[in-house]
Amino acid sequence: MNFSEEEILQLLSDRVRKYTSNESSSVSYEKARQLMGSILFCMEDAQSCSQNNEKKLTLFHKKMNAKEAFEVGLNKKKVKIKETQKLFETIMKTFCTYQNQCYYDTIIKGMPGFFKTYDVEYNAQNHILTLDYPLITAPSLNLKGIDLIYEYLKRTWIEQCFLSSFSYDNILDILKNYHKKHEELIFNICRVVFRNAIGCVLLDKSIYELMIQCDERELLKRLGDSKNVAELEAILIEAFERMLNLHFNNNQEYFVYFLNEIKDFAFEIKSNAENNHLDKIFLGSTTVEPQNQVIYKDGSPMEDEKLRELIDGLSQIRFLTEKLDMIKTQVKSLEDLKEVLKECFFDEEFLNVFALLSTNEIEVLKEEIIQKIEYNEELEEWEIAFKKEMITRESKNKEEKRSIT
Amino acid sequence: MNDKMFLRLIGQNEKTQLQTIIACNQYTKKFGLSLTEQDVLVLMNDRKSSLKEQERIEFGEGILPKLIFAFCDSPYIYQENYVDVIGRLQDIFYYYKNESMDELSDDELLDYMKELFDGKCEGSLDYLEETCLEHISREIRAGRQGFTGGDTDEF
Repeated sequence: MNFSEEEILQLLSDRVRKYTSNESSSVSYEKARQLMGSILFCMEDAQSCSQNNEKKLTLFHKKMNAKEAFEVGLNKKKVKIKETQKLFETIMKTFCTYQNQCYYDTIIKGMPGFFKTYDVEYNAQNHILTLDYPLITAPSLNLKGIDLIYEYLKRTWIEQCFLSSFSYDNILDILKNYHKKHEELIFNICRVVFRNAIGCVLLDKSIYELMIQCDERELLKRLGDSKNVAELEAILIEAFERMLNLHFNNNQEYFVYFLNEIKDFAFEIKSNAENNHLDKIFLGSTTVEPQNQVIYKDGSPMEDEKLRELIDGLSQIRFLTEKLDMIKTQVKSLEDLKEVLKECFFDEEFLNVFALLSTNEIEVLKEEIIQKIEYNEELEEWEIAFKKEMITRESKNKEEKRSIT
Repeated sequence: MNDKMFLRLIGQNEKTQLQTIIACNQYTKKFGLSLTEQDVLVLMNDRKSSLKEQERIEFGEGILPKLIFAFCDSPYIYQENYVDVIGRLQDIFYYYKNESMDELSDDELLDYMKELFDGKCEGSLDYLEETCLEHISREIRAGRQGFTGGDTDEF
């Protein structure tokens, strides 16, 4: 459908007049671009509508002018908003975020905001939301405005339906295995579940268990090692079809939607099998890392002025024992201690201060120093001494153990 | 949509615009003010460059006729400075449309300008541009109420 520039500009002029309620004769370039974008976006819809719908074809042959095409397109967008709202309401009846913050923000917080602020009349091409939660198959990049939101929600609905076939607890167990802080990650939950489900099919076990144990993973590794990517892809498609037949009534919508995922999946199985990291895609309870994190709560640091006074006082004391006594009585937090170590102690004195530390405090300082080394940060004098001390302590421990055995 | 296309629309109906502005002379004559065709062309060129500078696009007959009707009875405008003042007011108008984030309608902004120009500014375009309107637009940007159709005594 081709319209002359004059025709479209006349339409723009009408829209500007309506937008400003005829109270302003001029608008900024930015606003004019927005209005023009909205017009063209709606007109695209009129075009597709006249091409797809036989009834509308007659209208098309009558040669719609730009204004008519815009009106047809705008009405179509308005109908689509209603459809999208209905779809959203349907999704919300059973929607589950699986504790994922990004999923919550995108759907539960974002979507109602979209329906509230979406301006189909003057900014139809703007979908407002950034749609941060990633889908297995993202909607086309060409989609804009309500078209994009509709497509996004349609795909969300497919993913939610698929996820709802599995037990909530099993999904959460899988997610915990995926990452300790899965709630804060931006990742697709459905992909993780889908991959484990396919893994279960390959192992001939119930897909609803989802968990894949260590020995089972060995079998999958053998499979990954023995086949190339194309063969793996064929095997995965076959397994996927089997799963659809057995559990999802041969749902073709699922087949089309998840098919794209299979290619990546085959490739990842191959590379993870080679690197012995199949536990990253086939998740199970055995992959939980033992938790040996030190739980340490630091005391409250003193005010800057008091700390300065203490440092000045310590600098004037000659005897080490007196210095240590002052630390014992006055320093209540590691933060303060670090400052004091930096300013008031030297060489051999450090070791005497380290002797005052509890095991937890030593672990915390150790972690901090390791991090500093990892990030190539320069170590303080006391930190170098601390590092040396830790190395000597560890070698002593090892020797003791050897002598016992 | 490129800028050229927008600007083409601005260029449309130049003849009609010229006639409309010349027709204003009938009304402004009683205040001893009139524009020649040459003056109007200068003002219309100013308008184009001002719109371009402020990155705005204008449809219809433009702001000039409204500006002329609003300011022709000002005691600070006379035939010798008429074209210059109207040209400058036009620049100020488009500048403050942007500065007020389009929160003021054309009529509201013109009312403010006229009231301040004849009142507190005593005909000083610099004072109008750099102080009085600047204050109003700052208040509008800060979201403070009372700048649509209110009085301007406090300025």
